[in-house]
Amino acid sequence: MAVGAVVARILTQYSDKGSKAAQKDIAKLGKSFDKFGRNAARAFGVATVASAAFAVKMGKDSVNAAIADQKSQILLANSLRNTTSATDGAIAGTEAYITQLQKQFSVVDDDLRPAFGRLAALTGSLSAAQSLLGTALDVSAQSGVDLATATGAIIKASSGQFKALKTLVPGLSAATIKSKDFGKALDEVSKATAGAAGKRAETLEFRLLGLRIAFGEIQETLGYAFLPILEKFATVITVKILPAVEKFVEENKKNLANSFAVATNAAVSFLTVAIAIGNWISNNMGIVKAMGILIAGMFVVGRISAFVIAIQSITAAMAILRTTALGAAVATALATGGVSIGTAVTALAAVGATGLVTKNLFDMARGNKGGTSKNTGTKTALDNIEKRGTVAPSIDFGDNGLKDFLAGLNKNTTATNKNTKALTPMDIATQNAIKFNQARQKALSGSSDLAIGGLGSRTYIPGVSVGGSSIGSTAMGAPTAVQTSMQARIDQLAALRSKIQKKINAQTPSIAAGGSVGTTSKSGGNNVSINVQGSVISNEDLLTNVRNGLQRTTKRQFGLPPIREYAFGR
Amino acid sequence: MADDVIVLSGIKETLDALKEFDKDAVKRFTKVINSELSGAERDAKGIIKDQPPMSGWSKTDAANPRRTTRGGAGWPGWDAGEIKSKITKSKVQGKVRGDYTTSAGSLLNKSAAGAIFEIAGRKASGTKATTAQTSSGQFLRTIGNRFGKASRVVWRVVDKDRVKIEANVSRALDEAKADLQRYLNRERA
Repeated sequence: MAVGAVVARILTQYSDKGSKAAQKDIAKLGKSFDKFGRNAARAFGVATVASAAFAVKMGKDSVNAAIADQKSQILLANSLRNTTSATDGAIAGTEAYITQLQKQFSVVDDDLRPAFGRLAALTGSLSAAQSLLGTALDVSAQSGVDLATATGAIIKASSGQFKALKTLVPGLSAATIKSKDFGKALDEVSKATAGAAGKRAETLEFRLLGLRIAFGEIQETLGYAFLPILEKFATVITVKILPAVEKFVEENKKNLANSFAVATNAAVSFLTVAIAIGNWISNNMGIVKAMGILIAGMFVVGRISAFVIAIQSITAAMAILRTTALGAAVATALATGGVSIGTAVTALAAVGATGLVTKNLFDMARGNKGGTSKNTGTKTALDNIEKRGTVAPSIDFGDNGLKDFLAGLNKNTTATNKNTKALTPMDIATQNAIKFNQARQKALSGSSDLAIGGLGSRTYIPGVSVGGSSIGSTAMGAPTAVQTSMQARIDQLAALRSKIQKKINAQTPSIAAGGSVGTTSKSGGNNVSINVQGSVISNEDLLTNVRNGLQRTTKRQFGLPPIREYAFGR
Repeated sequence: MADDVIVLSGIKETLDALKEFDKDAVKRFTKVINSELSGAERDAKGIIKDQPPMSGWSKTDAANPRRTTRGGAGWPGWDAGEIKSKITKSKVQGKVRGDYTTSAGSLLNKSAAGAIFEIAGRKASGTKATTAQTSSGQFLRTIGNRFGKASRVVWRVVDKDRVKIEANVSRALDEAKADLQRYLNRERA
């Protein structure tokens, strides 16, 4: 065949490839039946499974075929009722007629029904439609077109359009066409194409097609058998399963809603915990760092047991360090004459706080409830909280382990905040110094009463002459080194107080009543001018009041009065 | 162009089987086909005139063919002899269609000028005829006015004689099948 040539086919023949394809399909169908038969001959259980598998395939195709066939039947029946007022019996007879045509001429009923419906609509008569359908089948077979085309050509011819029919049936005379006599044309067409459909059905192609149609009918029959089952299944779903589901939902909607609520609350709690942890961490960065160091140490060691041992070691070390720090702080305080007492207390508190946190962590690691130790007035690291002016929030947890874990930390934080709020560093240092001195006093004399302060008063320590020049023996024996040291320190304080008092006295102006008065201070005291006005009873009263007020002011200012000159009126 | 055709079935099978019994019967059948196809070929060649369809259609190929056209060839010259010689009949079974049919006999128009004359102005499916006021549009209008719509050579013959040819070949095939059946019956007996 030349490439690019114009090819006008005159004769067309059926290719054996088509036959082979059809034979292949038939053989495949036969194999399916053979396979089914072999499987059915096996044991009952195996046959059941095999037939079930076959039924799945057959059932699917059959149901689809039955659905399509039922749809086609319903459409035709509806068309016949509308166009020919056909009864149910007539419709059933038509179905039987179509089935007969299908078997006789190997034309599928899905093609026959629409054609019959159109012709019935054209003629309004079932018998006329049957006659025309037979003619259409012959025209279709004669001309090689499908039934729908042949039917369309006949319908057009009935309205005077013979071109399509002339194309299909060339033997239609021009005179008949010119006369537009449909009946005459139909006679000529019938005469020209008579028996064509029957002859075509005898060919190999249409015999094979007949087999396919028969197989299709089998499928449809099976499908019709399946349809009631499917309908029953659908009914069960609609009547039983769906109501049961609805009932279940109706009866358990609260539980379902609660389940959603629990899930939602869990999510909210988790977020709350996460936020609280974030806040706690931001407020307790020092503790977190300490924990981080411990955890880092755990990973360095590499084992949990080692971590526990490390915690125990740290706890023990903290206890030793606390004792050591206590002694060192006291010694330092004594050596520095009380100046380092605050520092000592700070160091002590730091050790105590760290030890407490460590112990709580260790307790929690062992599963104990944390926070069993008493906080001893901590400052230092926890003092940072007070400096920031923040209070760590209480954390609420759903998980017991995490709850216990952080409860200890919260407890530490709460106790620390409480203590640090109540006491300033100076207060703590003073209280501890007083306690220490009271304890020492009690150890020395059996009484914790210690008189300190008061201008001109004498410090009372049995056997010790305070403010005097010597330290005598006591009833308890010779003074110890500590006693001697403390006595020396007390004497130093008394001397310092005396010196300050002298300075105050020197700077106190002499005031005289009755106008301007010069100072009597040798060291250049101030002059005070007093003018009596108002409701003052006498100058002496005024002088007394002024003198007392100045003395009070001077004492409060520790001998350094801020005002060097007073003027009452001008 | 008529697409509604009669599909002959069993030509090859019948002839292969009949060849075993009566070769003369095969020859008779083949002669019918060849005769019908030759008549169609002759009719097609008769359509081709010595003079070009239009005065501007040169009898020789373009001296300076356009390089942009297919194969570098320009407008083909109207050589009636070549066109006629390349109108042939064929019984080659070509590509099988989707409806499992193939050709049992056809006419070919293989020359470039003959193909242009055959199908110039044919509308592709779903398109409109060319109405542009261009040289190609004028060419299509002129050739259409003078020689009718597309399908002017072999397809015209096929459209005109197909029914007759098919009927004659079909009758010959039926006779061949009848001969074969007769031989088969005789063989069975």
